Order: sequence, then C-alpha cells, then structure tokens
Amino acid sequence: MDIQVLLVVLIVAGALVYSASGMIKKARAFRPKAECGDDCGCGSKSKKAVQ
Amino acid sequence: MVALAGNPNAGKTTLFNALTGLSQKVANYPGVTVERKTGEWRADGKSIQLIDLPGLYSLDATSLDEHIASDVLLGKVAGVAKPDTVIAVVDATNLERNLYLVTQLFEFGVPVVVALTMIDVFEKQKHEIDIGRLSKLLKVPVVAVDASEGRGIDELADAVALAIASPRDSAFVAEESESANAKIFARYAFISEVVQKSVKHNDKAAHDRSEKIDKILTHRVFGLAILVGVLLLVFQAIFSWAEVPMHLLETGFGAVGDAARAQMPEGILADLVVDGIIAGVGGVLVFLPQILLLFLFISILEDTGYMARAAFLMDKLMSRFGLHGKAFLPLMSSFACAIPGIMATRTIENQRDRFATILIAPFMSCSARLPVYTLMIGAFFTGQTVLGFLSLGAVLMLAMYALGIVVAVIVGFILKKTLLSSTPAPFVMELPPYRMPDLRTVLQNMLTRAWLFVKRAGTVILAISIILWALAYFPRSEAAAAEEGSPAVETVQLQNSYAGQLGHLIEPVIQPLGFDWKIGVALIASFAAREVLVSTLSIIYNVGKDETEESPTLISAIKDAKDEQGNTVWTPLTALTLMVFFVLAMQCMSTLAIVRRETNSWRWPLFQFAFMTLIAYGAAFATYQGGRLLGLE
Repeated sequence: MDIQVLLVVLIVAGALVYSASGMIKKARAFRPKAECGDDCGCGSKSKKAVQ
Repeated sequence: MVALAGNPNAGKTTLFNALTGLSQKVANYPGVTVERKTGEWRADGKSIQLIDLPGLYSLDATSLDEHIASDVLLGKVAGVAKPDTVIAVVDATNLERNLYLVTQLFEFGVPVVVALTMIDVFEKQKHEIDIGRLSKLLKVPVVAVDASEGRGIDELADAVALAIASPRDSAFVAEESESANAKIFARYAFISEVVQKSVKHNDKAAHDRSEKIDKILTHRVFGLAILVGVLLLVFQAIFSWAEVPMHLLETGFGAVGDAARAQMPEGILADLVVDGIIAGVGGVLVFLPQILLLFLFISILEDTGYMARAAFLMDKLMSRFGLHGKAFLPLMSSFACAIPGIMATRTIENQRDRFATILIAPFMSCSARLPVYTLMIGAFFTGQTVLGFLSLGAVLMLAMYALGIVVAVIVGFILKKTLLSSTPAPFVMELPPYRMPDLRTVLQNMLTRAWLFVKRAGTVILAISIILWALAYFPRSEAAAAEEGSPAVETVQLQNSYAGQLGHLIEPVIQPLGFDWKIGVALIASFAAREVLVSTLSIIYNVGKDETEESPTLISAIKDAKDEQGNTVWTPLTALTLMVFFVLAMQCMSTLAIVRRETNSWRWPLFQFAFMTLIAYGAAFATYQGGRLLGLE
C-alpha cells in the first residue's frame, strides 16, 4: 500500500473513531437519571419525590 | 417554634447560622427530597426551636418548595409544629421584591417579624430607610440585622417575643375573590405605597431618568420599534465590520490551501489536506469575525440592562399567546444555543408549560445558523439596500430571526391549546437598573463564545470534514484514477461517490425546494452540526473542481455552480429558501439528545423532529414555489 493511502486511511479512521466516541459519550451524558419518573423530565421533581 | 422565611440570597442562611450556631439538624421533609433545617436559638435564657424554610420568591404554591413552605406555615407537615412566629428575612436592596413574600406571609395568620438585611449596602447606594415608619406601615416589628457581625440579634429576640405576646392585625390581605393577576397588582400597589413612604432615594434624579427611559423602551409600540431598530443596527454592523476580516481570512485559507498543494507531492494526501481539512475547517472559521461581533453586541445589550427590557416586551407578546412568562429567558438563551436554553426551562414549574417551551426553543436562530445565513446573504444579497440606507443583508438577517420567533409563538400557541393546555401561571419580571457595560465582562463573554466556536471547528467540524471528504472522494473510478484532475472526470467521479449517491437518493424530495443533490448532501451532513453545511459545500465544490484552478472562495464557487445540464444551481431564491429551511428545521442531533433527556422520553424529541421538519419543508416549498410564481427566480 502506498504511504499516502496508508496515511489517509489512518486519518479517516481517526476521524471516524473520534466522531463515534463523541456520539457514544453524548448518548451517555444525555441518558436520563434513574430516579426521574416516566415522562416527567429531569428538571421537574420526580414522581417518586413528590409522592 | 419560629420559622425563618425569605427570598434566596436575602441573607437567610447567614441569619439562621448566627441564631442557631452549632445546634443545627438537617433532614428531609417527609416523603420529599427538599432539605429541612432546624436548630435551637437560645435567646434571653429561653430556648426557641427555629425552622429554616426553603428560599422562596412567593408562596403561590406552584413549585414543590412553595408547597412545603405553605404546609409548614399551616401546620400541615407531619412532625413539624405550626410556627408561633415567622421571621421574614428581607433584603433592603431589593425591598419591593422581598416585601412581596411578606404580604403573602400576612395571610397565614401567624405573627410576622421582619429582619432587614443588607442595610449597609442599601445606604451605600445613596438610599435611606425609615425603619420605624416601615414597621408602622407593615404593622409588624422591623429589626435591622447584620448576622455576620451579630448586630440586631438581641433586638430580633425581643421583637419575636413581643410579636408572640401581642399579635397585631395584618396590614394587607388580598381579596379571595380576586384573580391571580389582580392579587399580584394589589400586593404591588400596597408595597409601592409602603416603600414610597418609608424609603428616601437620594439619587432620585437617576431613578426618575431610569423610569422615563423605561416608559419609552418598554412601550408596546415605541419599545418594539426601538427593538427592531437596535437589532437592525446590530446586524448591519455585523455585516459591514466583519467584511474586511472575513475577506482576509477567506483569502488566507485559500492561499494556505494553494501553498499546501504546491508543497506536497501530488496525490490523495494532498487532496485530503487541501480539499477536506483546509476547505472544511477554513470554510467555517472565516465566520469567526461575525461570531465575535454578534456576541460583543449581545454582551453589551445584556450588560447595559437593555436585554431585560427586550425580554419584558417579548414577554408581553408571548403571554398573549398563552406562553409562560418564564419561557422567555430559556428562549433568549436559545439564540446562542438551544441546549442551554432547553436546560434553563427547569425553572418552569408547570410541566406542560415547560414542555411547550422545550418544543419551541430550537426555532430561535442559534449562533450555528449564523454562518449559513451569512454565506447565503454574502453570495446573493450584498451591496443592495432597502429604503436607500438599510443594508438588505441586515434586513434579511432580522427577518430570519423574526421568522423563528413568530413560528415559535404560533406553534407554542397551538401546543398550549391542544396537547399541552394548562392555565397560565402569574409571572413577575424584575428590571435591573441601567448601567455602563463593564468592558471586562463584555470581552470575557465574547472571547468565551469565540473560543467555543474555534474549538468546535478544530474538533467536531474537523472530524466531520475528513469523513465527508472521504465520502465525496471514494469510491475512485478507474477513469478518475487515470485522468486525475480533469474537470469532466472529477464531476462524474463526485456524482458517483458515496456522498453523490446519497445526494441523488434524496434529490427527488428536495428538488421542489430548488435544491440539487450537492445541497442535499450538505443538508444531511448538517444534522451533526448546522455550520457543517458550510464546510460540506466547501468540500464538495473543492473536490469537484479542476486541480489546476486556484482554490475558489466558497461564495464564488456557489455563484458559478452549474448542474449537469449547465444550468445555474444557485439563485437568490434558492439562497432564501435554504435560509428559511434552516430557520425552521431541527438540524441538530445534540438538541434532540437533550430534549430526550429533559423530557425523559423519545416521544417528544421524535414529535419535535417530525413537526419541525414538516414546517421547515412546507415553508421552504412555499418560499421557492411562491417565488417562482412571482417570477423571482
């Protein structure tokens, strides 16, 4: 394999890994907290807490 | 039992600590996660049980904290005795707002003692307060305290003892039959009278001046006209002041691309660096001067106190359409980015009001849309004026921001009448005093935003640019490999690339909007981040060009673009249609993710994506086809 092609493959793979890891991190960060009631949203008090 | 009540930051915790010392107990109210602080106050050899209520602005019982405070005052909380007296901690520097809570405390039938804090700060602001008169007017003991110095504590103990021993009639009780808004007005009328009679403003001239300015700036007609004028000036300045640095950056990135190609051996790596990285990232970074100017003006408007007046004006408009007053600040934040805006909706207690705000927040034109608007305006609408003096670009920019607001209000109104109907809650807005903007704060805000923009260009946009370049470059056909650089072969190669195939797949859907497959690719890519539209177009037009050409500026590439039949792709009408689509479409993955988290459901973000895309498509269709019918193409 040509050295240029190899470098390009590495750069594109790096960009793919970076984007994928960013999406995974975002998905984790945006996962709702366990104590939030269904459909109530994390900002409101959870159903559990209000009862 | 004595309860301590007061606004947040009124000095309630400092006073509670000073009164109870180390004898504090912290627990939760039964069944809820709200903290309950109790302690023992030793006064004149007697032991008094003290309970610290949650920090409150009112006792309207719309939030959990307000519910609990009301229940404590009514003696309804299990394990907590009904208080014999309430000490209302009142911040003298925000007397009107703090006394609002006091007027509500009067209605619980419990003796009230006012502990006045921040007197030293109040006096430094050239105001004087007649405590005796204030006490007489409120018909309750008023004691000036400085908890950190221990001043006024003994007097407070005496006042509490007196209030318990000889309770007096309340100075104010709202009529039960009155509506929520009428009660608010009645309370503020009482408070205003009390403050006028007990406080002397030695800076009266400045106070009067401020009131006179407010009368104009918050006027329903003049205020709105001034707001439109201010925004036009801001947009006009953004365009004209940013022109030179933007041109320099654009030429600079073009020169860097050409130099890189000249220095690097011909081949795939040079193509990636020049057409992918430099064109993609540079295409977005040229908009940095406009981002800097936009946030410079936003910071100045915020710091002078004008933004609060604009908020007041817009709140008047929104409340007519059933939107909650507290929705304005999240919507305002969404002009920078919808994510903090949506998170700011947590201050809205009513779930239906909160969800309605979340669903309309992405209609506000965020800073990521600015490069898209500017590119389109720069390509097709520069050098033209409206009424002979207003730049058409600035007017169009204002129109895009206004379109987002109008559609948000209409959608909000429909949502509040159907899926999310609820009775509107009362809302009071405090206007901060006018002041000269602080240079340091303004510059700090502007640089923080600029740094975020540059960081994003160097990370997310760089990665997406590389991926998009690969999608536009591969698979390489044999002809392209053999005759690299030939314009005809490069065009066919681009059409057959993965990006080309994807673009052609969606072309029938976007053709009625006047968009070709290249714009289609840019639309799909911009779902990762809106400004990616600019880098994608930059990459596509660079990849498809003859390699012997100099790197064109994106604006000239757009203007010269031709389709397979040799027809011009972009017209002013196409540019306008694309802008309309971008104002209204939910082109942001991160926003959908935050809506998912804040609503704790996939239903709302999917619903939001569907209705925003439909509205955007419909409006773009109407713009393009309507424009064609009017012969604007």
